[in-house]
Amino acid sequence: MRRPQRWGVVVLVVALASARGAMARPLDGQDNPTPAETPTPAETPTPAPAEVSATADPRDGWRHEFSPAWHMATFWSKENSHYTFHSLSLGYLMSVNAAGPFLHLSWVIPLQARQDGRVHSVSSLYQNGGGVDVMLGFQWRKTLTPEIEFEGGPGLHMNLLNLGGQPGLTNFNAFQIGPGGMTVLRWRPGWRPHKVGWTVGAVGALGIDLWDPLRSNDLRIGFTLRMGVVLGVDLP
Amino acid sequence: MRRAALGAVALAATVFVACLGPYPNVGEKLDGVAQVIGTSYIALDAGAPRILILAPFDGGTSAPFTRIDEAQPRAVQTIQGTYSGDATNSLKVTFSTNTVFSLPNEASKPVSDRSGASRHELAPPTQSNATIATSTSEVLDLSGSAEVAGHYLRLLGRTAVITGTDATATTCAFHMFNLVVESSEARIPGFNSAGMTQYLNRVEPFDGILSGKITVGLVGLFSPVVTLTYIDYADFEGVVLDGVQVSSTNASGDGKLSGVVDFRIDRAELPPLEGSVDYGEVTLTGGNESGDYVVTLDGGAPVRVPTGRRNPPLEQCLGL
Repeated sequence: MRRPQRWGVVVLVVALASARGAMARPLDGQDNPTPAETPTPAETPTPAPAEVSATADPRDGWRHEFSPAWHMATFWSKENSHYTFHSLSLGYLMSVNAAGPFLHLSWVIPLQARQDGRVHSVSSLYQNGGGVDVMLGFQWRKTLTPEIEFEGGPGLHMNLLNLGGQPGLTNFNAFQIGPGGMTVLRWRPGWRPHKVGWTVGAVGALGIDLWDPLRSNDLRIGFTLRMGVVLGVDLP
Repeated sequence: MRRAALGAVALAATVFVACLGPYPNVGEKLDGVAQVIGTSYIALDAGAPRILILAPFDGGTSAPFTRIDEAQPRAVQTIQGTYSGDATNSLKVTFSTNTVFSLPNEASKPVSDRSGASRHELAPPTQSNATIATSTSEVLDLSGSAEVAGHYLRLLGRTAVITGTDATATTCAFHMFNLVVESSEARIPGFNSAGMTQYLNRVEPFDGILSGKITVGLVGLFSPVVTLTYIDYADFEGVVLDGVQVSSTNASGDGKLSGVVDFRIDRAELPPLEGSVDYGEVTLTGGNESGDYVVTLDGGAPVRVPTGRRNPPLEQCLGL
């Protein structure tokens, strides 16, 4: 009975230490700790070198970013129709640590719809349309220079599209799922307004959609491409 | 904004409980019917009624046609296109089909697994060749392609066989009425399936093949109430509908029907039969009807017609 309790304490301590490390580290790891957090020499006369190097990894920490992007979903149905939707997407991007999970969550606003060579303005056929694009996966970060960081990794992609038809027209819905991957390139400018660190960069994500449970799997194959900018601010 | 939110909720719910069938075309019209104003005929095809509507040539070489097959339990296939004569042989006719409406029999499936009514445009059109064996004012015999062949009798002459207001006449009148109801349902995309969610908080009109309109609307996602409103609605000669049918169910299709639809059955050289169908005693289980339709002919007593197979059969009602 005691062993699980001991393991529980160990796991809790490790988890808290990891979370603290993650939350505390901005992109470049150069932020000075506040005086209140600085241990006095009397309290820690000889800090361990290993600890310093572990917490100084500039790739550690959370990244929360806003990402406006161009979103294209092109797919072929088993009935041999080719559809393409060009959209504006507004996304939230999140990732954790040098190697850790990531989430890309985007609200998609379709602007143009194409089918078999015919091009339509979405607003002329549909009303109150929108979609959600989600990619969830695992990423690795690499610093190219102290200010530039690269992030990439594979994930599971889902694209949900709901276009309500104008009076007299059918709705268009899709829910496409498949593997995908993403890359983010970030740059941390030296200029820090009000001492708040920020990042700017670019994102590219590709989903290869193979399954649509909403449409009796009428999907033969689809590709979803999202390319845009990322804007991030260091959270306290 | 509210409709967008409802749409998103509907879609999310549909994702988890149902599928909507293949992708529609971008900007596809809900109502894809072509009106065909012409002479209506009825035949039996392996015991199931087959209705053929032929528009007159009016001096041209081709004219629109519609053929409706209605099997039991409810399964409807309607084809539309044009037919044309052969310049060298006036007895040869070619039917060119460009649109197919179908409502399959999915009574054994849960509502969430049904594909429901659908429409397919055929490009290029399919060709069916037939030969006119007999053609009089009352009889049209077509041989050849199984798509259109049959021993047809003019519909207005057959409805004249229904006379009186007794239980048999009332039941036969209901069978004619129900041919139109089922024919109309086959042309509402998504009917009898989760695809009906596309009518959430909207009312969409569909033209009758011959005249009038039916409107479809749905309110409530998890306890859907579907309202079909017939307005001088006719798919073929002889039967015109006016009234409202309402289905109130849960998401599994369990619930009841309500509403009253009036009908008028035109008869050659006889005054029309008029009456009404009250759906108040029909229950729905998994989207399937059970119970009785309460049918009343003007001047007659209410007759309870059980749901299910036609009894007496149409061939007996119409002398086919």
